[in-house]
Amino acid sequence: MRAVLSLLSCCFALSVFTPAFAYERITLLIGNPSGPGSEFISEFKRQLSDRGVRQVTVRQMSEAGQPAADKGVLLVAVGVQALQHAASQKGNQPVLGVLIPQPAFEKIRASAVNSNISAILLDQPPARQMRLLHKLLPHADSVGILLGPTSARNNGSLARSAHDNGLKPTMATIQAESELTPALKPLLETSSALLAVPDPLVHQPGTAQTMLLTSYRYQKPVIGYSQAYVTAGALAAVYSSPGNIARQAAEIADAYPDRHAALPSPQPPRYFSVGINRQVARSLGIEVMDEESLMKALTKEEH
Amino acid sequence: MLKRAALLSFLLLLCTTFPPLAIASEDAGELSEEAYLGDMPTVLTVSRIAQPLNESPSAVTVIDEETIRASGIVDLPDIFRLVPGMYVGHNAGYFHTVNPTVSYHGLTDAYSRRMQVLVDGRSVYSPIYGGVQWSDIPLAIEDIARIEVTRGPNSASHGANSFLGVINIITKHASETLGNMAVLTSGSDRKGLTVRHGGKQGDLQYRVTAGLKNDDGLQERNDDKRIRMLNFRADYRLNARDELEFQFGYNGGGREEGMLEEDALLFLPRTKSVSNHFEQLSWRRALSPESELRLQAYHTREESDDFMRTADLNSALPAPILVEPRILRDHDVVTDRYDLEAQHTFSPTASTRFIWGGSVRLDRTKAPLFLGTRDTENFRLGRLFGHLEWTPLPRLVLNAGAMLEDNSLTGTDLTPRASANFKLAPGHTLRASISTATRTPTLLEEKFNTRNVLPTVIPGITILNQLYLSTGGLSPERITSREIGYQGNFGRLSLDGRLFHDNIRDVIDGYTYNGFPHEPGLTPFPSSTSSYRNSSGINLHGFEAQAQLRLGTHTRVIGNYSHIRINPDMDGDFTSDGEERRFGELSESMPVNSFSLLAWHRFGSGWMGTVGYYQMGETKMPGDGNRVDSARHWDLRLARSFKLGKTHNELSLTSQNALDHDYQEFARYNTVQRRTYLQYRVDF
Repeated sequence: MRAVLSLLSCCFALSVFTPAFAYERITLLIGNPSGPGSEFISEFKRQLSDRGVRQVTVRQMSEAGQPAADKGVLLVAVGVQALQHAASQKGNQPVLGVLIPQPAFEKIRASAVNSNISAILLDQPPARQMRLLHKLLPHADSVGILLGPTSARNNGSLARSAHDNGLKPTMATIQAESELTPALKPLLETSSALLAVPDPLVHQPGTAQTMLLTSYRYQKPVIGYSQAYVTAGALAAVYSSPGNIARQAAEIADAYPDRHAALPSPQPPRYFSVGINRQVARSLGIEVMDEESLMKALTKEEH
Repeated sequence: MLKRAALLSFLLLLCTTFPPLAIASEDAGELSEEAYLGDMPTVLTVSRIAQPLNESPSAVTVIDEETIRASGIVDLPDIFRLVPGMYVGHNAGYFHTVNPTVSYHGLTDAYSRRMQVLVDGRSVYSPIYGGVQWSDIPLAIEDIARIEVTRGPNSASHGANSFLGVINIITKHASETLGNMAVLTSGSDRKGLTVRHGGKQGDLQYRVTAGLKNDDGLQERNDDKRIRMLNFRADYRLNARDELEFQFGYNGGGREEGMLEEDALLFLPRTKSVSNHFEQLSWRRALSPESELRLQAYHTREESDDFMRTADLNSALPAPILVEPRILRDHDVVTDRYDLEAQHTFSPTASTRFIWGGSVRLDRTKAPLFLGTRDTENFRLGRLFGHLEWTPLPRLVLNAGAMLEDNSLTGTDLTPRASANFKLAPGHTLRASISTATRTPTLLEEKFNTRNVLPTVIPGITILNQLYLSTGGLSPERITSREIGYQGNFGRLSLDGRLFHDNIRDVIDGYTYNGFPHEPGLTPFPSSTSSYRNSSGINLHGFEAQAQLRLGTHTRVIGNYSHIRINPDMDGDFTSDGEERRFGELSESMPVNSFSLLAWHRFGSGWMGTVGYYQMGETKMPGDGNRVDSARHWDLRLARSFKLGKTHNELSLTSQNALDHDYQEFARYNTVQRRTYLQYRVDF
């Protein structure tokens, strides 16, 4: 019954926001035709076709003879490369970047020619990650966070969300990969779990290996930020798939009432998935709910 | 020496030639969507993930790195005092017996022949003596990730000699030891320096660990060791699925042995030289998160050279009849082990997991003085194994497995195992298991042939002093072990207890006999010699428990207790009263009660304190051992860690037997006094 009600209320909400002046024409700009962009495109088109027929053009960056900026067309730039390209064009065409890491977006915006750009970021709100940690490990009292030069900028919001969930944050910031091993030890000794934060330094493939192996040695679970991290050996992660992002992008394209106004400000992903590594959970003796229930429980807490 | 230098230069070449082959890693300056959405290689592959204790088919004690560091141990065997049912006794004997005895459930002389020891899946169990020479393993304590001790037979997984228990030492992956480290130890009887460098070139990660240790052993014993060590490990990721691991290790140096007593006749003080090395190559392919294929090949070489001499034996005789009154013998032992193993793990269905594989091994041993021949003894071994884990109900885990082995000494054997783990309630599991194993006779038990031929001044008399002449044809020892175990969690306290009953048959035991064959013209003196035979059986039963309390992340307490009764079956046939008496005394080869406790706390601002308490009942160890009283000792450690610039430092002071109450281990001549160590470690 509750499911039916929430479905009805969703439909109602959507019907309220279905505007008369939403973008009728949308161009998808993609950098790399293979890769995660393809999943985004198919889901984005499907979402839009569910909302009535639209004109969606897919353009590759490599194609010759790029058309001039058209303010009446919403340009959805898929991935960092595409957004970089779109941001460097004149004409203030509205550009919505998708599948964009936050540091990349900030860097692009800082040097953008086009000021009418926004994005749906890939980075999960820290609060969501901390709530997941709390749900999986109700007895955890502390969380270790390893930061690099880039991710260190977010330490304030990470610390706040940790405290909000009853977790004492311990942070270590490293400047070079060689500092990783010595920095991990005290972090793991004093934390119930480790939160992996995306960072150009900390994200190196070898670094993820060091973090996962060392944490496992200390029998401390790692909360990652992608499905791949979970497959690699993290206990769990909240992450947004290209499909999750496509749904949000379609809503923006659809619901944004006035195509002459500026786009909404950059936002974190609204829809997300939860990934669990059952082998790791079992080995660490952690009883976990299934992914779907966890996702629903977290979503419910956000509303 | 030349060969070693060649190998080293090969390794260096490996480090310098691999980088161009390495797949370029991501540019550190940029973070693209790939970081969030791209693939990552599986790091915690199925074989790297330990089975949870409550689903394990046998009782397991896991010693993690934190415990090793908190304990402050400087000799690896001491850490096994934290395993319930384990006996550790430092021994400084006279002849190949300067070695701590580490045994699970006793039944051991200076050689712990009934327990398997593996380092990264490589068996370091000696084919000639049985057991392990602990100081001779190319292994730095700082490189150990964790130690898993299976308490009980585990032939089904590790084959013969995994008899009473198995120690499995797992070292860190090269990616866990990036950067540099140095540990300087200075203490009453140990001085050492260990340095490590870990680095990476693209997808190749490696480390080199080198160590020097001057071990002065026990007081008033001729047991000093100069240990020189070099270890190298490289982990190379070929692609998202495949990973190669290469290891090389060397351990060598001088080892003192022999009697310091002035009236010593036979085992005079001398320095034995040891030179061991190994090379190991493994390839892992992660087929899926639940499935993995692993191939492993290794070679180990253990070489010891002991030049022995006796005192003037004529001085001990009524008349100086020996033509050569001093016996000089060059005792050179060389063992090579070649082993190749394949293992495949997969999940046939959602509720099952299957591990199967096979291996072949060749042990080549040359020990002219002990085997009576300059020929090399070849021991061949083939194995096939399978193990199924099935979870038919969420609360029930069933394990069944078996090992089929064929070796050139005792033929073919099948050793099965089965267990059921039932979850009574969340966090409370009951386990019942039955497990079988065999112990292959050691080369000495089967083929010991050592003698002295002593010409005399008496015309026509040449004395034959035949110390050992094995009659051979031994059958393997067999064990059937039954247990009921409980594993439970009470908040922050985890408890593990088990009741066990072991039945051992065909126990290989020493005896003496007369009328041994010899060449004409020699006069045997004495008229008897020693050999080994499958004699009677032994029953063991008892109870052991381990508890672990974690108070937040700052305090941990580990406690262990064991109560063991060993009942040799005295109804068997014995060749002499002496043999019967010695067999009966096996009942005292393990303390009836032993207890250990380790607790540590982090006080904040870098201070950390550890208290250890160890108590062992009275023992009378067979062989070189004799009766020693029950003993207890306290270990204390205080450490302070601090950051200096970017370096992480730790200064610690450890006092073993801190109250300085002297006690004996293994034999009365091994007196343990207070030992204090100052250790400085820096990671940078």
